[in-house]
Amino acid sequence: MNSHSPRFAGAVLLSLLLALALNSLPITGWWSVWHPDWMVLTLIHWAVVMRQKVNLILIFFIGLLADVMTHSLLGQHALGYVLVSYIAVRLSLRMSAEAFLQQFALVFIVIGIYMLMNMWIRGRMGTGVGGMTYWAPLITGLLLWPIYHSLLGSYFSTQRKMI
Amino acid sequence: MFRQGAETTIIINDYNYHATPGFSFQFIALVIAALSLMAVDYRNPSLTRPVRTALSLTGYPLQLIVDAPFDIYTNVTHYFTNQTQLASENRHLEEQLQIYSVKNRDMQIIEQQNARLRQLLKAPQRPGYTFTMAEILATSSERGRQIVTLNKGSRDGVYEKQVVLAEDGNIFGQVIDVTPISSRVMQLTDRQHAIPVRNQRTGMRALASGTGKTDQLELKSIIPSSDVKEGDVFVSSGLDMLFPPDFPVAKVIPNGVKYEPGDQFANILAKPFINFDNTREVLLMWKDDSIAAPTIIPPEATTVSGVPSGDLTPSLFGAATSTPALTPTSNAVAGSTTPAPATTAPNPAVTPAALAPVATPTQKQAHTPNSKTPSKPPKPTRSAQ
Repeated sequence: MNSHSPRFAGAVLLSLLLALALNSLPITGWWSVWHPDWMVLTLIHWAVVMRQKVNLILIFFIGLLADVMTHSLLGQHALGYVLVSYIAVRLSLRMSAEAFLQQFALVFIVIGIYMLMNMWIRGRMGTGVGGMTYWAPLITGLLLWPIYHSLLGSYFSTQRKMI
Repeated sequence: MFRQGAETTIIINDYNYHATPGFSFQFIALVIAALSLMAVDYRNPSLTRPVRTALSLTGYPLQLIVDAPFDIYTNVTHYFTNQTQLASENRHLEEQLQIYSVKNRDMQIIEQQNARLRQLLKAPQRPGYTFTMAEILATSSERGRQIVTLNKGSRDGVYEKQVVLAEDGNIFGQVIDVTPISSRVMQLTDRQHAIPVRNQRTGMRALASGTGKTDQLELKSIIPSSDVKEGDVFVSSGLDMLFPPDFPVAKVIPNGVKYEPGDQFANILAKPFINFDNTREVLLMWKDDSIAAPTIIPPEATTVSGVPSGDLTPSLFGAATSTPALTPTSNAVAGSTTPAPATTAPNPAVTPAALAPVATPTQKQAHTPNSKTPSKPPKPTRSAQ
């Protein structure tokens, strides 16, 4: 089992802000249908890599910031991100984070629950989007996960071998 | 049950840290907090406004940083355009400027004439407009939401429900949220947005609501017998007292008129004139308050709708505001005056057919959240029917 710790002070916060920035890129065209929620991927990464240090209150406030930036209902992303972190932490206890397929299953379940919850809230609000293309980010999220996971792992945290 | 040896206890403490109740309690508390916040925000958005403003200001530097590479790219490409290209562009622009200045002179004469005629007819003055350019910093990443952030805020005079145009003078959307240094604009294509429009060819009124796609607007609840063809241009009707009248909004796409036999209404799909995907700069629009906005016309001015005019706006104002004034007197009067513009003016704003579909869409507009103040004129119109 490897133990991870942030590479530098504020690495977690920086990666979260980076994800927030990636989410608010003025993107257009086909990518706007497929782009994943980078924040969810980042949160899963930290939950898997160092679940002992997950700070739900920080995540809650980052979620509020995301709510304001996307102009959605105040608390929608906060709830989603807290839920994502919690489920990711709980699931990572039940499966080996190093096993590739298990990791895929974890990411699939977490993003799926997150998107289901968003769909429900937005359906209640009357701003929902229909059609199968709503689930497109789930696929891109899964495909991008290994790359994003390894990039975050190598640039934002250090590994320490434990015996 | 786990207390078999010292080693296992250490492992439990190390790896099952979050299986302890503290983490779950924190999670439950935050979920409850988020849910109650959502409830408050949904029921009473004015309560959460300070929170929103504070958080927007926190997020603004981030948005500036995100925008910086795009900004640098445009600056660099501008810097490296070659001399001959610049010269030709400059010549072209100068030519255009001359043409426009002549046209502007002509416009001023017409405006003065218009103002004088309106004064004679005791019609309300047509408002003037001023504009400022603003830049789009970020877009909402949520699917179906079409909300952008501008780099101008209340410090620059931006206010809520301000009309925003894009470069060719087509309507882009409206301001929904203002902070001192930035503002958020809801595009026409947002799912929660609707704008009252008028068919330029027939004068039929409708409500164009966003679909969440950047290239589609939907005209809902159109009576199947109404005359809408492919390529019909819909302009803003100004009935909402928010958007200025006669600004182009959308054009009906090929095969856009959809009617399933047996349905009560037809649905029409139209393509907005603005390419929302490529717009980086928009125009903020201010109404000149020196001239009052058109509200009520005194009864003796009802003849406005009968005056034949080449200019579109007088008959439009007549149509929008004089009909309510007509209805209280008698239906016979309304019946005799309304066909007049249909025969004389190229813009038959008030035909009996045009009045019919108004009732349903404008009624709907009242409960589209977040969009605009419910318009006053259509209500008496309905009572006339």
